[in-house]
Amino acid sequence: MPVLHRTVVQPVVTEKSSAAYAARKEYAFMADPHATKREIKAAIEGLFNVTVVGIRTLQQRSKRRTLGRREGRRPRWKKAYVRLKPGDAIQVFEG
Amino acid sequence: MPDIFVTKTREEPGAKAMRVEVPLERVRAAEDKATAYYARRVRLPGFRKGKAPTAVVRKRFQEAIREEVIRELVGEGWKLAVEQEGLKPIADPRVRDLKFEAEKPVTFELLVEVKPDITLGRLGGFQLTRRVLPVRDEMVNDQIEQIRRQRAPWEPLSEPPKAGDYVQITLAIIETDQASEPKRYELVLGEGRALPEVEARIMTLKPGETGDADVQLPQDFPDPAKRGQRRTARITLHEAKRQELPPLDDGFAREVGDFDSLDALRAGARQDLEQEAARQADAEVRRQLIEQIVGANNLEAPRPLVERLLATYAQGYEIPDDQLERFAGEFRPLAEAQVRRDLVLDYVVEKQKLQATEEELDQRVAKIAGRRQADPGQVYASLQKAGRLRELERQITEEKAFAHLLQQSTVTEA
Repeated sequence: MPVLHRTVVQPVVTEKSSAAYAARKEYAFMADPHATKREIKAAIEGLFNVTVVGIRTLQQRSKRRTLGRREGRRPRWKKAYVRLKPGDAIQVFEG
Repeated sequence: MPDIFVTKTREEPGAKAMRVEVPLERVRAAEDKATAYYARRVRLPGFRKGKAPTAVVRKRFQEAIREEVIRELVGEGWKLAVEQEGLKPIADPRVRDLKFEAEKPVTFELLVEVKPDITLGRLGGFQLTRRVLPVRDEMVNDQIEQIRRQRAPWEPLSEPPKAGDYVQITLAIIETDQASEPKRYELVLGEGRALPEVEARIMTLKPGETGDADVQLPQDFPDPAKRGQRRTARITLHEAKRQELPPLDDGFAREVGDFDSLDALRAGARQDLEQEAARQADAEVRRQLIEQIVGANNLEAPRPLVERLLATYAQGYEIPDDQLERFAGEFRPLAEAQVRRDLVLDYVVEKQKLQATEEELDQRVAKIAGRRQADPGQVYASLQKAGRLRELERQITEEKAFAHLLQQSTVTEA
């Protein structure tokens, strides 16, 4: 199993993710594409000292990108939406 | 919304300090306003423009928002302070001891230089003497002589030069039979620019000749060890020129300017000198008047205003920081006099509503334009561009103020 901050790379702060937070108190994270839900859950609990009560994941496909005439790909990654135990919070969207 | 509190903490003539306390609610409102401003405008990655949630914006732009809040609150506090204390500021305030902590009222101190409230009880009834220095014939002659010298061409000489002649020489000091590197000098003889022995020797040489002179090295000679010692100086005279003064006749007068004859030139010069003398006499009367008003009313120049003026002077003369103290010491009396003069004039102008009007300014510009034979509009524009209009306006205002003041005193012609 990869180390915690490799499993969960960084929070995803976008319009869509902040809408998810506003509507359902779900936090979005970028995760290792090979990490399982259990691993991600453990990583978040370990990193932020919170209790995760729900987790949904999805694969973000790799996308083609060109840089001038060179063609390349952006890596695929896994996005995870997690719900926390009521009362727990992670400092992402709050002030 | 609760009010901002302004309390006066310190006051001296010419300056005031106020403590300002902005309640928390106001601080929050200002923060929200600043955040909203940024939220509407910024583009953050992952968000369309203006769609980023305020919490995210607040976190990302913490510093900028803080600054904006401070600016807003200081501005509000200042506005209130001016209103409440009836301040007449002469400059922007300075902010000191700013305390801005999360979830606490913001406090700071405002320091400002203000126009002191003065009352001048006695403005008139002074005895002033106006002394116009008479223009004597010698002065006119001097003036014309000066013009003559300015216009005289320099003619090369073949004989030894005399005092008043211009020479180019090289000079070498002979040290134990060996001459130092010759140095080149240009000077006019008889003005004390060179050592007397050297000048005397030059006057015996014809252009192209070289001669030696026995000299005593001066006290400011570069090498301290040799000061005061005797040495031989080898002097070569390269070139000598003498000024050929043009003959003083009608032709000369015509050349100088718009004069038909020498007498007309003399009359013109006399008129210039007389005008200058009158101007000086008027300036002196004004100075006396201000001095007497100041004396009769015990008017003191407020320290903050003097300091401020000194700082302006220092800036104008580009005084380096380490000499500021000495400079301030030297110029303080001058700055104080200037401050007192301005206070008196401002007081009179305000009391009597003598501020120069737009119309008077236009008239003055038209007058200047007439003298230069230019279009008033153009003159106005060029003055405006050079930033001289305010100066001109101040000048007219001062003239009016002095005219008003002089009516109330007696001026005796001496």
